[in-house]
Amino acid sequence: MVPAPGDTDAWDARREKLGAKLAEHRARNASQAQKERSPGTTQGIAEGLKLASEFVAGIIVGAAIGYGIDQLAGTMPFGLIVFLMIGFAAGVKNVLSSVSPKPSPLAKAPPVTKDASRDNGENR
Amino acid sequence: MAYDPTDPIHQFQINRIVPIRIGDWDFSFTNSALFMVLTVAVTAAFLYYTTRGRGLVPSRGQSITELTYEFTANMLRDAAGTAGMKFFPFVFSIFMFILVANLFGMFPYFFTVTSHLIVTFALAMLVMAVVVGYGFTKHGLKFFKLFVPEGVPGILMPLVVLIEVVSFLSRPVSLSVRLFANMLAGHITLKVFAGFIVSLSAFGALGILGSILPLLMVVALTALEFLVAALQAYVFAVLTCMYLNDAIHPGH
Repeated sequence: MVPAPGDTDAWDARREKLGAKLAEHRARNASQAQKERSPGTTQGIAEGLKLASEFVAGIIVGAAIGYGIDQLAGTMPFGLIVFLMIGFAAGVKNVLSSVSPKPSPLAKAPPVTKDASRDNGENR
Repeated sequence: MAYDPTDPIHQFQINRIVPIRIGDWDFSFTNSALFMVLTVAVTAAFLYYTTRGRGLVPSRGQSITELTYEFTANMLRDAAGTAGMKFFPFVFSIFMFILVANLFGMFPYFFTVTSHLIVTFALAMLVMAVVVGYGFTKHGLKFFKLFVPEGVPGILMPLVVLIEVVSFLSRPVSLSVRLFANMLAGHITLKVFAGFIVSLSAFGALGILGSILPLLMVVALTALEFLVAALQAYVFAVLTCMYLNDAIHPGH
């Protein structure tokens, strides 16, 4: 099966065949991964729970701060009203920032900071 | 109160194994504490024994440990950059503790440490303490840039800063409640469906036939719970990395 050491054409053909096989395999793997990432799987449930908890946490913390201020200052409904709204905004902000794609810290690391200069100097 | 074998809440009860009282405080060694110790001991023993051989060609156990290491290291590097790697021991400990504690909860008759809010909240506060502590020692007052986004008109600034502060304060809450709620809800659901089998099979032959349905459900839920156990540990660790990134690079 193995071609003779000097027979370059046979080696090339063999390499091409292997390359085609590999490409086919890679394509199949990629489509498999695509299928696993599709919505409707448990990954989606986890994502939904994550976003829901972030939203609720903002409102709970806002309400808690408002209630605390009211207890201290004796302005019963107003602190709660104001901070519930701020908590709502914070919850929305939490959800938005966890959904929007994050820029990689490596790509925009400023070269001025002390610890960043070490890995910038050698790689560029 | 008589003990009901199908009671879904009974599994979360805390029992004192070794009662200890110091002054007014209760320092008893409980079943929760026992399983925390077991979690740490099993994790440490596993990591130690699998890496003891230091084979160039890893054994099965060593591959598991190496894969976990690389997985966590990549997660941290993606979220916080190379500067974040000094927090690797911290993130890896948290990830392994939650993962093993969650998986321990899948054994029948075992106690699920992470199904108690105070445990997950303590973990979340530990993360927050590290983020705030490191942020202040490293950047001083510049750490507050985290709360001041760029490109906001001056008149809106106080409101936006207030929202950012509340959003920051809500992080430990969402971090701890998510892990706790997932574990609690999953274990209660499992127990409720398992309880259906017991109650239905008390109704004779027809009941036993009918209990096949909840049995199938329990099998499916067990698989789902294993997934949730791993997924929640991963989510906790990923968010820890992101918050550490805020401490390392505040202001963007």
